[in-house]
Amino acid sequence: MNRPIPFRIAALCGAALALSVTACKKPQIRVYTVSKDLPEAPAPTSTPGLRLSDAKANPAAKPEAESAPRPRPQLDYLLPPGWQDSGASQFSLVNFRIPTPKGDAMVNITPLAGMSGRDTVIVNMWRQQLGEDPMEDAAAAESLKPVEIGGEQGKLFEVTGKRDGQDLQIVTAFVHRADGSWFYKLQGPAEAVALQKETFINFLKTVKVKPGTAATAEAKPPAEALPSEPAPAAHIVAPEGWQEVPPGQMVVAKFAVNKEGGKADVSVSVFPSDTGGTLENVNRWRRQMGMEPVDENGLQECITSLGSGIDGAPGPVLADLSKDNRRLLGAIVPREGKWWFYKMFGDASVVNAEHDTFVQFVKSQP
Amino acid sequence: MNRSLWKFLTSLRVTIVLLGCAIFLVFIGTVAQADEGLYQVQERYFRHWIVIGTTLWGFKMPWLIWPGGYTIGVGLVVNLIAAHIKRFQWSMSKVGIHLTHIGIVVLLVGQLATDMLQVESRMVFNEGETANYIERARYHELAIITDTGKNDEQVVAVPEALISKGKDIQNPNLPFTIRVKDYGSNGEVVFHAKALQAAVTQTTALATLESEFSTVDGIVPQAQRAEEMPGRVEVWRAALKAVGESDVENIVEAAKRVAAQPDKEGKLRTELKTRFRTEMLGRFSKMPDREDPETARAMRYVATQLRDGKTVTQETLTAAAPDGVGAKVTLQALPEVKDMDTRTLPYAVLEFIGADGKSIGTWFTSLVLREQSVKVGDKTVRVALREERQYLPYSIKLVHATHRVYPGSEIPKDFRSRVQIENSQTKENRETEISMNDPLRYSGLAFYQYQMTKDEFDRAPGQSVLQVVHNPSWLAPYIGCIVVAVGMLWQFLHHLVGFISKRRPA
Repeated sequence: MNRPIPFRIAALCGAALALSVTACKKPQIRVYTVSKDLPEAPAPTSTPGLRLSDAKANPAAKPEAESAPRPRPQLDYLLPPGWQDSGASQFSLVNFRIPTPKGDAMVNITPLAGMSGRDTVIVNMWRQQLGEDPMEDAAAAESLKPVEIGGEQGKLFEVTGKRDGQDLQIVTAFVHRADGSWFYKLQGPAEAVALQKETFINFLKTVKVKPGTAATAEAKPPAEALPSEPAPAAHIVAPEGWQEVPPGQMVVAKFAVNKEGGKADVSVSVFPSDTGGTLENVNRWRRQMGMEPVDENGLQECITSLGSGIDGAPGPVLADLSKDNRRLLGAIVPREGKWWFYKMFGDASVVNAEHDTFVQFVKSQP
Repeated sequence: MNRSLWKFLTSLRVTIVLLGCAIFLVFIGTVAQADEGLYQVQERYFRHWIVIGTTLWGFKMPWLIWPGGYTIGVGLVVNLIAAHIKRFQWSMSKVGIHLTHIGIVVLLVGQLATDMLQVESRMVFNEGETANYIERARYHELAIITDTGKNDEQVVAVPEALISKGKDIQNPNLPFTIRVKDYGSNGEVVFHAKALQAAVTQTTALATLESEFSTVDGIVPQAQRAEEMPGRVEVWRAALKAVGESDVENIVEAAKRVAAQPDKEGKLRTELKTRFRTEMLGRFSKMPDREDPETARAMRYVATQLRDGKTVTQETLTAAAPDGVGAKVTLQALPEVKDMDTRTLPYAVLEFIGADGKSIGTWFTSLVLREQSVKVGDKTVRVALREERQYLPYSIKLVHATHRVYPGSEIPKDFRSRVQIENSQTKENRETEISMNDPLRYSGLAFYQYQMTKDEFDRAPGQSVLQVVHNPSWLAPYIGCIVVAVGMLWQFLHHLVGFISKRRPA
């Protein structure tokens, strides 16, 4: 069937229109002006169709250059009498030790991101620490009492429970701020916490958070935190009867001690940091022995001071752990800006016999 | 008009061939998703004129050339229109059919236009925050921002597609020529400070592991302890098998048998050390970003280095570029990610050449880095690689975000954002609500509420994400459906009236 020419032209025009509609656009440089008046949107932390963690990676909206770690905020507070400042730790900005007649209580202050709106999670997190069952939303909300924290309205809750047969109590106050959620925790034996609770609540009123000005410890290029090059084992002189064996990875020197039908191993490692602190390391050794970890109180029962006479550095300690005819001696010695870890582990008969030799070895080598 | 061309355009055979091509395209596109990922397939097969090469079931077929989705779609539309014109007959009895066909053509063309012209972006903000631009997630640009000295900033935005060509980039508005020294579509950026921290963490962990299996503690008690930790049992079983134990169901019993043979015990210790080390580094190398992506990236990087037998020290960490933050970061190039759930993080090393032809310096820029300052003479410009932005002539403030799930589940029940629109041009300042099935249509854009997962919302409470869609042809489906409905109604009524008229007695 023949159709008039205009119809055909119309058909072609239709096709051409469809093609022009779908024509490709070449990438071009755009130049435009934006006002500085309007606030920038926040750094995206979520992307439709993308993993949240990936999307969070773009902090492009921030005005300053580098994606450097945030400055650690500083705190102002009125330290109650009897509280001892234990300094900062990996997670807490500051820790206080409070000796009381009923045992030591601890206070720490920790800022955490992303906790706003998760009050039930927060309450249950602490309940879990003391082996308590989690609460439903309503019950958790009911357990929260208002408290003043540095002039801001915060919330406070208490958890009591048992750990290793001891009654423990945690009193936690927190406030959600623009820079994160701030947690103030008083914990320790229930009786000690009861003695300090009022002081703690008064202390909260005095705490003021100041924006950080200096880079945090994490932000410093930790040249000093470099994994140390292991010192040659030849620098370490083995006591008599100790047989040098090839050290494994991360171990500076290693010895085997065979005596009276039993055997023990001695290893020496060196690290640029205390790798988590005495408690962490002693608990690591306890786990190796198949023993339950301990808290700060329990720690004191299994360590002794080796004095401060080693190169004038304070704080060398010796941990002594025994179980089922096995014994472990572990020494942590800060020396010349590094931490030396010495460990003797094996049959109790051998470790008993070599105890003094090991201590002398720790003090003298390298 | 060439008669043979007209005949070709109106041929039913062409329709059949095009439909056949479409079936095959859908088939290879579906199979190719396994190798190329959904997003890549959508782009390369269906949003393209021609497909060159494919991989099916692992077999590469670089020789395959096939019409893409656009070619087939446009071909079908042209064929349908031409055939309809050829067979067009004007009569009242055919009006309904014509309308129905026109409606279908509108639907087809509208869908094609939507596919080609629709731009999807997003707006992310927290409660109390105001946003005045939207971003396209998979499109990136190099932004060179200059303070104009007034209350404005001039932005020169160079699309990633131009950077990827590797050629010098010039523009009269730029104070320098951009020389692309390196570009990659995906790369992990690791801060040296974080890497060194991660090195301490991982070497400490490895040392702990080493000591665990280097002691004289018998392997039997170690196996007993491992039995209480399900994650360790499988590693023990694999190690026991490696030293020749066949029955490893009970690792304690197997360890007892091995302990009776000193040589074998030594081998087992070595196996355990090696396997647990591999396991540990494997986990570190897959550490998710979670709340601290910088540390996670550093942990992944260090793990891969240690796995390859390398050390991570200040000396071994290379700088991505000599100037700016590039001096403090190491780049680890990664293959391009093709799945829909992960995005690639492009990077570029750029040298800026001043008007005098001298080099101003070389900077490293990546999607994960913030703006960096570059001094050009007495001026300072800011440079950032970022997601492609479109600034709006108005701003939107998130007043309140609501996220509810059905009790006892993570199934979304209600997501909504209370927002405040502030438009200085129209003097508009009003609040409105955007919810899951009730988008805000404003100024040519549609703002849809994105359904964040519970995990996403837990990590960023008080945050809302809006999917912003610009679709000039959004009315096409409505118009098409109405025209089809009118055509069908017409046809039905025409026949009904005719039928009734015939039955009416004379």
